[in-house]
Amino acid sequence: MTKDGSSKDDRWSELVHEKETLAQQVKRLIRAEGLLYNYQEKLDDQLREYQDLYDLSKKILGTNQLQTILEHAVEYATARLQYERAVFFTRCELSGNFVACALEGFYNEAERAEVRSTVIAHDAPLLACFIQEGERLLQDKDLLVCQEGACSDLLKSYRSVLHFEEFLLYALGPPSAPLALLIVGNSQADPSFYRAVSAAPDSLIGLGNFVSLISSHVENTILQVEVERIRQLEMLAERKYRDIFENSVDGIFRRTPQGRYLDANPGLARMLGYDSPEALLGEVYRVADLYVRPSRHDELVEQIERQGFVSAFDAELYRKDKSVIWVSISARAARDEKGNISFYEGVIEDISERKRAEEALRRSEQRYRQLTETLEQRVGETVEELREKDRMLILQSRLALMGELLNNVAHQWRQPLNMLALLVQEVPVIFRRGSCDEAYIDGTTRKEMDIIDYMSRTIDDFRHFFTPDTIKTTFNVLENIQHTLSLLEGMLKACHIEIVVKGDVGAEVCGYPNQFSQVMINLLNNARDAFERREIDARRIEIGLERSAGNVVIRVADNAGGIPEAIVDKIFQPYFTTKGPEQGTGIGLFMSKTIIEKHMQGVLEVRNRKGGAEFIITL
Amino acid sequence: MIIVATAVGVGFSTQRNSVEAGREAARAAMLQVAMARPDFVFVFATVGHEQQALLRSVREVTGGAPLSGCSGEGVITWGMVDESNFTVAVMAIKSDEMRFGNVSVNGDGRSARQVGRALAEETYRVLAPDSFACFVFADGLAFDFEPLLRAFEGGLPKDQRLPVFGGLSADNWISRKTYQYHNDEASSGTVSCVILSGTAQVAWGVNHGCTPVGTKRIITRCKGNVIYEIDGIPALEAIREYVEGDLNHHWNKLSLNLCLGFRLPQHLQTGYNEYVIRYMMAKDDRAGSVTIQSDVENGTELWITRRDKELMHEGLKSTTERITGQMGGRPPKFVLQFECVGRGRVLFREQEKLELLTQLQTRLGTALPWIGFYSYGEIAPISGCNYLHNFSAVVVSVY
Repeated sequence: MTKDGSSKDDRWSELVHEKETLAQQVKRLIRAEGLLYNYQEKLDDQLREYQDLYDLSKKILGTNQLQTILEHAVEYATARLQYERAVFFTRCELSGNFVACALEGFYNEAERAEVRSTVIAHDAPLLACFIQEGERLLQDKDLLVCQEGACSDLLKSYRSVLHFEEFLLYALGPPSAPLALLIVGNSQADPSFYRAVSAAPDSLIGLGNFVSLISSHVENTILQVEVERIRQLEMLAERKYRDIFENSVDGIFRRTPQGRYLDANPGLARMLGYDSPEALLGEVYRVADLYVRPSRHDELVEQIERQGFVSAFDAELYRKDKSVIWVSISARAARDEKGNISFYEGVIEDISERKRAEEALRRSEQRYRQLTETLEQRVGETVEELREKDRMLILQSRLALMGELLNNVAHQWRQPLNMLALLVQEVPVIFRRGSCDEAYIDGTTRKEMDIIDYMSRTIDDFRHFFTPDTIKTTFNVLENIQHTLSLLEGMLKACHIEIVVKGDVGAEVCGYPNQFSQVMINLLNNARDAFERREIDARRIEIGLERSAGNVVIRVADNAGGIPEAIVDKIFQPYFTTKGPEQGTGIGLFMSKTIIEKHMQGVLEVRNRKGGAEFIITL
Repeated sequence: MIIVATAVGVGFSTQRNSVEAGREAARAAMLQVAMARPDFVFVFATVGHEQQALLRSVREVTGGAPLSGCSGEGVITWGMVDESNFTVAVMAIKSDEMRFGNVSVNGDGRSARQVGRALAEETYRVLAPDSFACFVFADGLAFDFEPLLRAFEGGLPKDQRLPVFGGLSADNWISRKTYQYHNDEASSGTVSCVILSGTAQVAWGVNHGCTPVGTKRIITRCKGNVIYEIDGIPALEAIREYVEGDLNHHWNKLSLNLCLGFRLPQHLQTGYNEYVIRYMMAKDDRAGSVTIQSDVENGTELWITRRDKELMHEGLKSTTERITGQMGGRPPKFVLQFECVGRGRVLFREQEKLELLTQLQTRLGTALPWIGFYSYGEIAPISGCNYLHNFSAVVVSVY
């Protein structure tokens, strides 16, 4: 037993237990130490990677040469990220195709040359992979992976071309329109001394960091290169502008909105009569003072303020010697980033010559217009005169016709008047005989009244004939002709003219019946005159009616010898007559043609046939 | 008056193009001392490189000077440590006070002892009365090195036994193929050897910095360099208790976290340590065995040990003190360092490793021609006996 009462065996057991516990603790510590070293190595790898990344960042920040950046990048991808190979393709601005710009890890000259000459066309299906579901990694829209067992046929097709067995393909810039392509990978699958291509997130951390770092630099540099290219173009444009500015005949200016010239070219100075642009800038304090009409300057400024520009704005300007020129101004407002107007700039064209030409043209046009107006007035007056003459002609025609008709009335009345005279003269005789009874009185009176009624109707017929037609009506042609013949009955008998009317009794036309009667009277009177003048014995006029092709055709043919061929084309002209001044006015046939063709939209023609003339009316 | 001199330049390259890397490192080495053609070249490189192309380019630049070296897990030069897959260091030496005789022996399926004897025969041809050191670079995966070393030593005349230094070639944890360099050839399964002769001398130090954890264990069943049982249980089972994770995954790295310590005889402990350390280079899950780089016998005592950073710092300090003591104030002409892979990036952080190296180097001089590599086993004498070490740093100063 020990002093504290415990046995040696107990103490031994405690010590054994304690030893065992300590041994277990040591084992745990060694295991933990192993883990610690393991983590430490990984941490060190990461720190080294970040350090390398930092160094890379310094390198690429130190240059603005795209080629240098790309070379640093592919070197990093191989030397630091431990991929066997890396190649950078950048997009050619002109063609849009991707060309290899920087390569690393291609130590076989033939392979290097082959990859160096590889071009990925702008429309290559490979590029479409970045926007196609399933081809790209789900979380990385800009990354494609080609590795054994996890690669599309399309990506595999690039293995032999690019001499990669497995690779990762990053698109820098928008996946839909990449600016550059970075390809990293290995010529052998499962490489011993290179980083294996893997889509596992852990494996992509380093590459992701690297791409994140370079992508912005590469994109920015590409854009800077593009900006530089544009700047060069701008410089070229500026030189061209300056060339134009210095040598242009037109005036080019910049001025403040307040009205002070900031810049002017020699052309403007010459235009305004100054020795040099400097003299112009030094002597003109307010552009508005140059304007002959200051309100035009205000309008110009108002237009620019409102719409940002003016185009072909005409104004009169004073030259230095106070002479006036016309100019055409095109200008715009140049604004700063905040939208405030910085200055106006524009071009002034001297249009004085043009204005003078325009003025001459304007005066010429005015003279022409005056002449035209005078001429129109005179034409109007002439037309009015002609109309008056027409009216007079018509009146004459109607008066002549009236005279003709009065003759006919006289012919019509002669017999009834004789009858009436006989009856009146008979009354005293009968009375003296004592035979004058009531029956006689009634019988005589009735006879006399019948005669008077007849004469009265005759008057009514003539009066009706002279009532002007105002409204077109449909009338029976035959009835109209027969009525007309009744008006001429006396004359026709007196002249021993036989009238034969034949043809379609139902033919109707739409027009002015009285005017049509006037035409028929003219034709019949002309035939009568021809009969009389040529002393024809068997006088005959045939009037035929027929319907043809929807029209009514009236033929008036006589046997009075016809119309001489020399004048057959002139007989419808006004004042043309063969009858002599005592008998004809020369307006009968003119009026007849006017009535048929203008008033009734028909045709009146004439021809010679079978020893006479034939007038053909088509309605 | 004859001026006796030695010019040594060191260059390195981290280029991945093997041809360019070899050229760059060799040119840098020769330019460092404006050397037209070296007498001898040491080359250490990692296995990412195309080895034959690498050597060819080095030889092209160095004018076909005799060359020895091997692949390592990383290379070391003055102020630089690189454990990447693509690195190469070249030391070019021109001296009229030293001569270099290099030989190579191919394993050709022979036993380690046979190879050792063959190496001795080859080496004998270049041995001279003034030979003072031997450097050996052997395939770290092909040989049971302890017997090879014993056979090599035994094959040399007793009066011409030399201190042997060097390391077992490595392949960056791939454990598939290491390379030994001899002139134009980068071979596997061979031993490359250099004999230094002349008026120069060597001073060296070796230290491992490991410490036992737990009590003594006994090997209860073994054969050659394979240990089947410890304390009556399968060796792998005894080890597994100390290892976190799946033993099948990166065994070579997992097993680094603990190693086996064997007590040295008292007379060998002087200037070294109580234990010599062995790395378990392989295992057999079915047999439950582990393989080390020296033969053991049943009943041998062993201790499970672990690496200790403080002891390593202290060990390097004592190493340099020992070396400077040996040199007696004379400066090194050049220095070779053979460092265990277990003392590299798997143990030290990058900065720690560099600080440790800087301390070591600056204790021996300034801007010294320095070359070394990370090995699968280090070779250096302790107390007059050539020994294979694991988890050790061997520093050899030629002065």
